[in-house]
Amino acid sequence: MKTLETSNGASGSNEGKNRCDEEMVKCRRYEMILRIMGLIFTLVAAIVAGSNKDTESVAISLADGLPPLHLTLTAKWSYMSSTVYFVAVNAVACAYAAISMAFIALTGGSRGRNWKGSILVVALDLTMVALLFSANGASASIGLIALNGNSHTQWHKVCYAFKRYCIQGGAALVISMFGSFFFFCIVFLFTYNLHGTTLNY
Amino acid sequence: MASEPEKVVPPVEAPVAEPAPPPSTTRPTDYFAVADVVLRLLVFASALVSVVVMSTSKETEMLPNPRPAKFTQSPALIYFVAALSVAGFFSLITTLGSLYSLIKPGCCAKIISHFIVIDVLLLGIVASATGAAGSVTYVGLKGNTYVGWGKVCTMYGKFCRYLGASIGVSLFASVMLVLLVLLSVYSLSKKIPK
Repeated sequence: MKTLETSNGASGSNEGKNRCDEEMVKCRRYEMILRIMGLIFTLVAAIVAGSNKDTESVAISLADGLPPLHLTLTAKWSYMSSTVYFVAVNAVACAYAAISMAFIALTGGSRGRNWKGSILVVALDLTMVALLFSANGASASIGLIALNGNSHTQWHKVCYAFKRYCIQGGAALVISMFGSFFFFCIVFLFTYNLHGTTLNY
Repeated sequence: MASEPEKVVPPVEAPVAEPAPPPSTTRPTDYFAVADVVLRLLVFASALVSVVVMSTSKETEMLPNPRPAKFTQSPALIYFVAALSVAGFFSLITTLGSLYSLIKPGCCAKIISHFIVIDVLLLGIVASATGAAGSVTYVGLKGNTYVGWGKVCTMYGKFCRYLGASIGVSLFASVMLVLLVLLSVYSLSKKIPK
């Protein structure tokens, strides 16, 4: 019986071990690539959203006949709670991607049969997916209100005055959506591995 | 035709005094399959409750002209209702699937991994809907002085309470979905041939 060098530690048939062994390196490489991409995208999204500050001179018309009043207003990411949540979640996801990459590199990337070491990583991956998707939804809904306004609640649109702020916020949202897609792919890859090892059942 | 010089005692064919192995038909209760069905039913129930509570949250204030507050006035709340209906529908399908797999054990082990992917997708959808509706409700509750958006919940108290309850229940549904995926991963990994 061929002894495995990897950290699987489970005995099995020869064919099963060989197939898992040669695919293990490929799967580990894919997973590392996905984590690196997730880290990069969430880092960029956090930075782009966190440096979002715009000072504009807004013309407010008080009444007909009076000249419009020019006010210098500032739009900053910390003024809105959903953008603060967005930046915080992207920063947490980026930090988690870095920590989990270090953890997997140190413990040898337990996948497939040795599931006990990776159940914590899977659980945290799932919470990161949920947090990232919720931050995307929150930022998107507030951005939509800022773009269109809401006549029923008397919330006026803002983006016509702060064009650069809104465009930068939208770009950060798109980048974060890509990052959350990569986090989802990490979970999907783990499930695919698990499905492949139980196929003989 | 030579006679046998020695009488060879024929070997005993049937095993003697060996207790029969326990029959494989008496299987222990598969707690994971039962917990799976229960969790999926919980997810379906909470999605249903969220959709119903959000849909019936209409409040009309008698100002100079009566102005109703409905969930259709905000695109984020419409998205919330749509996403949770989809989640409820899919959780119903997967409940029926895992119930069938509970009744006929050992039939579909491959289906668990498909359910895991569906559950992760549902988690993403429900989480994004919760985030969207939660952010709109929070702005309606606290207002935002920098942008000039006023509080809404001081006037429409019942509306905001219904919204808050619906969002809280959908948060519970997303936590249940996380537990469900972890449970499915655990039960799938126990089936790995040793």
